[in-house]
Amino acid sequence: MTDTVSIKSVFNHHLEQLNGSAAALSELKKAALESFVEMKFPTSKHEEWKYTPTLLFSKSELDYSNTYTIQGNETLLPSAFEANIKIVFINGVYSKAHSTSSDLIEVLSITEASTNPCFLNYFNTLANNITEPYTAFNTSFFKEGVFITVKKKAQIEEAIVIEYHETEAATQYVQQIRNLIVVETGAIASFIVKHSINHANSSLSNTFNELIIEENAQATIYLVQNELHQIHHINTWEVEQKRDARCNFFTYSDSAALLRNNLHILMNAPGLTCDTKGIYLASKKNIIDNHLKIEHKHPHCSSFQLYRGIMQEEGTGVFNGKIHVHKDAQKTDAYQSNKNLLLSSNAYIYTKPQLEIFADDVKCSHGATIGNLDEAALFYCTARGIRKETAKMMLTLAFANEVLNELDNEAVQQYIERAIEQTLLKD
Amino acid sequence: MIKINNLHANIGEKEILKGFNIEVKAGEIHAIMGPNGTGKSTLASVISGKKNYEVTAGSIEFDGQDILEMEADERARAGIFLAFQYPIEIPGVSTTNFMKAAINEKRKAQGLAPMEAKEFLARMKEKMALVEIDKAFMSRSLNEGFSGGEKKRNEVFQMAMLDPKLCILDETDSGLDIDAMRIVSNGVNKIKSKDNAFIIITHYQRLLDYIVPDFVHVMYDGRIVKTGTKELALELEEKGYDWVKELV
Repeated sequence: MTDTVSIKSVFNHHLEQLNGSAAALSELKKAALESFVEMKFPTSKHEEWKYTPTLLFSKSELDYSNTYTIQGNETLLPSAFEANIKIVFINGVYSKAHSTSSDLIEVLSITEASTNPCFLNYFNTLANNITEPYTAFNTSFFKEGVFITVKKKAQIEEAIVIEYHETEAATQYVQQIRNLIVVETGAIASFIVKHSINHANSSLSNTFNELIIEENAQATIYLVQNELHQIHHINTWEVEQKRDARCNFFTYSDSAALLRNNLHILMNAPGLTCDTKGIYLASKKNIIDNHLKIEHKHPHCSSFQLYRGIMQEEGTGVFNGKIHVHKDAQKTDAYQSNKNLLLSSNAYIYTKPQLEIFADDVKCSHGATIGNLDEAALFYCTARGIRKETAKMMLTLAFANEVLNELDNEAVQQYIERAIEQTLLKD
Repeated sequence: MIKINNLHANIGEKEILKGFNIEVKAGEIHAIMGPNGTGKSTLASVISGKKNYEVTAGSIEFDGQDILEMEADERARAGIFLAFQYPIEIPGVSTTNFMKAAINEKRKAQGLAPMEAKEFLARMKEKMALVEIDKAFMSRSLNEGFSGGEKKRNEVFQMAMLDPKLCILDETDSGLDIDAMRIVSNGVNKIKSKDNAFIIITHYQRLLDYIVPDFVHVMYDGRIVKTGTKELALELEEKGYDWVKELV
């Protein structure tokens, strides 16, 4: 499926299928495809994809344009988080029947939304279809996804849960989910995004999310990426903060054969703050890659990146934290800290702080470390009667707690602490 | 309680302990004094099971059992406690959680259920009072940002919590001001009973004004060169360690 001719024929088929309302987007899709064909699937020669071989996507014999049809009797894993508002996907398709909503938000399938003027106003405004291959790939082929609006001044205290369920049938499709979330002026909302994969095979998904945080609004995102088993998942978030908007973003990843998180935050007004945190725990032969780009475009903005990585067995971690300070973004305050713990001699970590600073009056700090568990601390624990295995667990959890303790959502904290413990115990 | 016989230990190629002998019975306090670099801290590390040392000859019997093959955690659960000369800072682990883990691991090894929360808290409270530690310390990361004196008090607090049979104090007095010295010594004197024993390693006689030893041993070049009572400590203070070197 790698050659241009077959991609184009699949694409034409895809456009025909769309014919209905989403056809309004076909011009955009055509342009994205041209650009994707130009870029091709990235290989290890591509600087941004050096350590994350996404070969399966290019070699896949699966039809990019097809999607799953919900049967209604799928066996889904139980929900990890209680929530009043829940948005449920099954095998890459939004299921209204499984979801619950509220007056404070509006959820439309992307097909329903495609003629909505409000949707069209925001849609694709943050997508980089020119230089990001998987973004262009998604724009070309997406058919499923949701448009979520958190209404003006809505204050939603409990987190909204987005659940991605997969059954074995998911392995027959390349899931190209496209979401747009708009948090309107003065609204406050948080989202827990949870994958629950109920099969042990490798499925492929390329999810693209746009999040627009309007004036004086606040959005908090918790990506809970456990139970991903053997899937290959590319997960892109493009975020824009408007005037006085606030963005908090947390990512926890402990599974997937291959997981690539792209997080790009555009701070598009003066005086903004964005806060990104993450914990990744790579085991077995997992590859977990977090690519961040924080874009300071205006003066007096602050950004924080606090990431902790734990690699065990033959796990590989990748961290690339880019801070881009534009020429006019004077008085920028950008902070980045990435510490990594290698628990096995077969584990790998590639960490790269990347600061691109074009303003001359800024404060940018970064630190990256790679190390093993501290022998002196281990001895201190064992000298108090704590078994070595318990001590290792305690010190590793303590390492992750530097991030976990900073979260505001107790349910997420507790869930992740347990997930870390369980993943470490499998060692 | 503990019987060390002709103990030789190396670090790398270098022999540090060169035929060390001691016998400590329940209810006794033994002080080990000596100049720097004479093997005092090595002795403490070897007894507690630190891996960096190789025992080349001799034996250590604790409660009639050879402990040289035991791991550090097993020795600790058997009742050996080392108060560290330089307590380790452990970010992200609170003193409370650390103590909970230590107590419950011991109980687990004895086939007991974890200690009830209420009993644990009561015990914490009682032992904190013993070394005059404020309860705010308990939720802070273990030793992180503690002053020297606070760290040493925390060591004695842990000792009280774990109720060991043999307590080894490795230069617990060094760097302490008079107040901290008084608090630490008070703690030790209250923990002391007819059923436990202490080995107090110190460089200075001062601590022994507060904790009165039954025996004072002078260590030099990896072994004990003279044994006496508390008067020996005073004599050392007066004559200095050069006098010891002449004894060899």
